[in-house]
Amino acid sequence: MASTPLVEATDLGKTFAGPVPVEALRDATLTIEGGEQVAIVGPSGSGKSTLLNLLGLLTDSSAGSYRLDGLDTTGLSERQRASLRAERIGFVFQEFHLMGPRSSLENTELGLLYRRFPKRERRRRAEEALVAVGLEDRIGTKVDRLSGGERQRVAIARAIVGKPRLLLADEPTGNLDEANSMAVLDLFAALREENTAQVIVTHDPLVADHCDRRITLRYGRIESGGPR
Amino acid sequence: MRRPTVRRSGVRPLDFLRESAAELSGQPVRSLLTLVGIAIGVSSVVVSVLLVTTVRFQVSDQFDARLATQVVVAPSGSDSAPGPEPESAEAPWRQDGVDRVRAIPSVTAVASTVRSQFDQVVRPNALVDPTAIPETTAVFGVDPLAVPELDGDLRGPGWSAWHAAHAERVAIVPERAAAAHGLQGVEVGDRIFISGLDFTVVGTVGPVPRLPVLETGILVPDTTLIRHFAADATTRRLLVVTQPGAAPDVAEVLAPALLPTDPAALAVSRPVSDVTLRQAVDQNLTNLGLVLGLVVAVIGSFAVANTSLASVMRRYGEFGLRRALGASPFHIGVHVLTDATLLGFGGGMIGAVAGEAIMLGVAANRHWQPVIDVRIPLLAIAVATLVGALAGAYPARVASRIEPTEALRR
Ligand SMILES: Nc1ncnc2c1ncn2[C@@H]1O[C@H](COP(=O)(O)OP(=O)(O)O)[C@@H](O)[C@H]1O
Ligand SMILES: [Mg+2]
Repeated sequence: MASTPLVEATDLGKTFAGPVPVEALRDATLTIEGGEQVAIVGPSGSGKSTLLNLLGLLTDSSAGSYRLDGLDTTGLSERQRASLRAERIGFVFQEFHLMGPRSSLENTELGLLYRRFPKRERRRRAEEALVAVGLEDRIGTKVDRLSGGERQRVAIARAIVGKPRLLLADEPTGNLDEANSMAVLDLFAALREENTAQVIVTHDPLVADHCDRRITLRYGRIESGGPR
Repeated sequence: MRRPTVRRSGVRPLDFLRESAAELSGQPVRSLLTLVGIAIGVSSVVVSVLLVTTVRFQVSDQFDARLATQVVVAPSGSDSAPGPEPESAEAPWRQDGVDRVRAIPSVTAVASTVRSQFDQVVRPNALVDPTAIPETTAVFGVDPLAVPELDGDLRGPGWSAWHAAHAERVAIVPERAAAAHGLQGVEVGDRIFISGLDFTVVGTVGPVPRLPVLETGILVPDTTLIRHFAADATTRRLLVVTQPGAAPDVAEVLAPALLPTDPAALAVSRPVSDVTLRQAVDQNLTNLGLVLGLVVAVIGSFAVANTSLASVMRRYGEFGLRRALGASPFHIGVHVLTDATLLGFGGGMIGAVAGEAIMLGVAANRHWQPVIDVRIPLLAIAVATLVGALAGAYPARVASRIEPTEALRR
């Protein structure tokens, strides 16, 4: 019996309404298995972020279907989508999106806030995650005082603290130097052992080469690498 | 195929408070400015309401003091007594009784008054045909000292105890009665006619503040009234003016002092209309406090709404991130609402405590009896909290509608 893929997108499309409607993504069909590491590459404006937002249930598709972990996501309420994001999806962004005045620990705990975990449990798991990303000596430090590489590691800790099935990263190394980029890749690599699939949007060939697979987008279409 | 259900995620209520506390303390300057703004508003309301309450007590005391300076003695049952009996036309008390009352140290004035049983026709001179006079005029019998003792401004010599003892036909004409009954221009030395009898005018008088009813008739000696016109014994009054605050004590001893043989024949009372007056003052001041509170509440809600909306704009990206982490639009709204409510509550707390402290300081400084009423600060805190929540409603709505993908693109 073949196992269900984690991500099953069929003819997924997204059109932004407006005076001139923008068809940012068309007929995207792809599957991703648990623990797989997939790079999404393509020129600027080709629809990479749009695809990532669709996979992350942050936005509604205009066409096609998307099954996450065997669950058909069409017609889910915003509340249910929020629950799925909380339980099964982690996000990492180029801009980190951390709360500067708060500590690494508080920022990491935020990854569990919307899951009804008791405070004590959130704290314990956040400390674990920070240790996992190598920030055990920065746990109480305000994020404002951290370097760029350290900040991205806090952001990764926040994304993985809930042990998501799917990690979505939009240009995670875009603001980092090569050494820090490599460190981030090492952290992602470690997640494969947890069976966490990863989708990494990147411009960096080094990062793309590191992944199991590469999906190339052009003009809102998957040019190569979609279905296995 | 496997069909997992979506488990509903959520936030523990305490965590909303924790998040708001962290957010507000993460922006200490901004939070402090808003808190101080609210606190100033709340403290000014608390101070003014407490001040109003305290001043109200002062005002009430003043009114009490003024009103407490009058005590009225009347024959018992004078209100219901149907008509005068010949014997009762005279005052039930005697002159020695009145003298005893006057001797009470805290008594400052005593005036006896009685009204004629029937109003009389009053003419400026004998040339006027009495049948042409449309209205009759009250005649009051008063004792010689009554007019000055009732704070009336007597012009002319008035009459003496001798006039009173001999029931002389002398009269004091109040200006108001003169104007109302065709006696304009009457002067001391003139003669006027009351029901055909000629009277010498020995004085005129303007307002009689303590017993304004006297202004409406002609004043003659008590004895003269009894001799020439029937006195209405039920209108017999002894008005006793006391030093401030002494009235209750004077009222106690008045009847025995005046009529030791039969004190029960006298009814001693204190004016009651003042209570109504005091209530009117109370109501005015209370309304003033409420209006002030309303104004501050409106200003405060705009202040909180402004801060709250500014913070939503600043946290645009953060709310996008929270959505990515699993917050629903509802959760985002509750975050903003909690922030605003907490600001209102905090500002209310600080303001209430500060207001109470200021009030105690002012009261101590002015030697006022401070009115300690915890309900006012508690109410202020509750209202400030509610105002915070209401002011946060619109910003919360704005925040809950943030598009996460837009917000994350910053
Ligand atoms: N909210 C939006 N409204 C209108 N057009 C959008 C919106 N978001 C993205 N687009 C357009 O969709 C296309 C794909 O955008 P995006 O997925 O961000 O590309 P990439 O991430 O590959 O650079 C672009 O042409 C972009 O201008
Ligand atoms: Mg992009």
